[in-house]
Amino acid sequence: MGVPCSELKDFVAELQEDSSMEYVPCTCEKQALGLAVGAYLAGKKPLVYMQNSGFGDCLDMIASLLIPHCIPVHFLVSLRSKPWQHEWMFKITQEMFLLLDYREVTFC
Amino acid sequence: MNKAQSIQNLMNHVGDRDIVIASTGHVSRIIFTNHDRPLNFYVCGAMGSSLAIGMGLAMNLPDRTVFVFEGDAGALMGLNNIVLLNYLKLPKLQYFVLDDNACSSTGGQKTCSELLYIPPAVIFKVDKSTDEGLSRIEDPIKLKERFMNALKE
Repeated sequence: MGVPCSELKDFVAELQEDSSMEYVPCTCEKQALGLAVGAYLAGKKPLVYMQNSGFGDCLDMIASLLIPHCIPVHFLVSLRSKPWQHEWMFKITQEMFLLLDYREVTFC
Repeated sequence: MNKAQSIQNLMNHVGDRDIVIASTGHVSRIIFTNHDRPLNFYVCGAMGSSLAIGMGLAMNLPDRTVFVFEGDAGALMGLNNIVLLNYLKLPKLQYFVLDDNACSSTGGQKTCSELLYIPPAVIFKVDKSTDEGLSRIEDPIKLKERFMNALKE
């Protein structure tokens, strides 16, 4: 589950066409992350996708829920740097992952 | 009726195999103090996300009944979740809001819950509560593991 980004549109299109799973049109990134926590508690291995702008919205949930409970969630985060409204979040995204002690991060 | 009495009445309807998600603040502390059981999950941080967590459980465990108990401030913080709940139509998820028109755990500051109309949530108007006699929730990892183990039984 997740929130679409133009960089992830091919990935999201595949999810929408995949008849083996229900496509959940999440309204925001924190909601997708909440669903992922519920899925993990139910025994699944969730992945959430989002743009890095939305990752910023998830910081409190990661710090106050995921990390203290040791709840593993995989993130697929697209990294936008342009146009201008993305520039600042682009500058701080990699550091946010490191501040959260996320070691297994691949930037591509 | 105060929040603890209202929660007591609702907990009487929770069956042995039912899941309870308790939201940030006094709701989780009341349920932890008075009604702790392995199939309770306490959302101590991440205010406003209890319903999303409940939906994630209900989607993946369709045979289980999931009760989500949340205060009015948390419900207001996660209003978008009610739209997704109506979209997904999860018949075994029961969402209850304990509404005292206040942020109880931060000092009783007023909310705008007078305007809260979010079916199918059931909203109970309750008296303002204090944290007198309420335990703090410690050891989140242990409680999570207890919850996940209880789900396997």
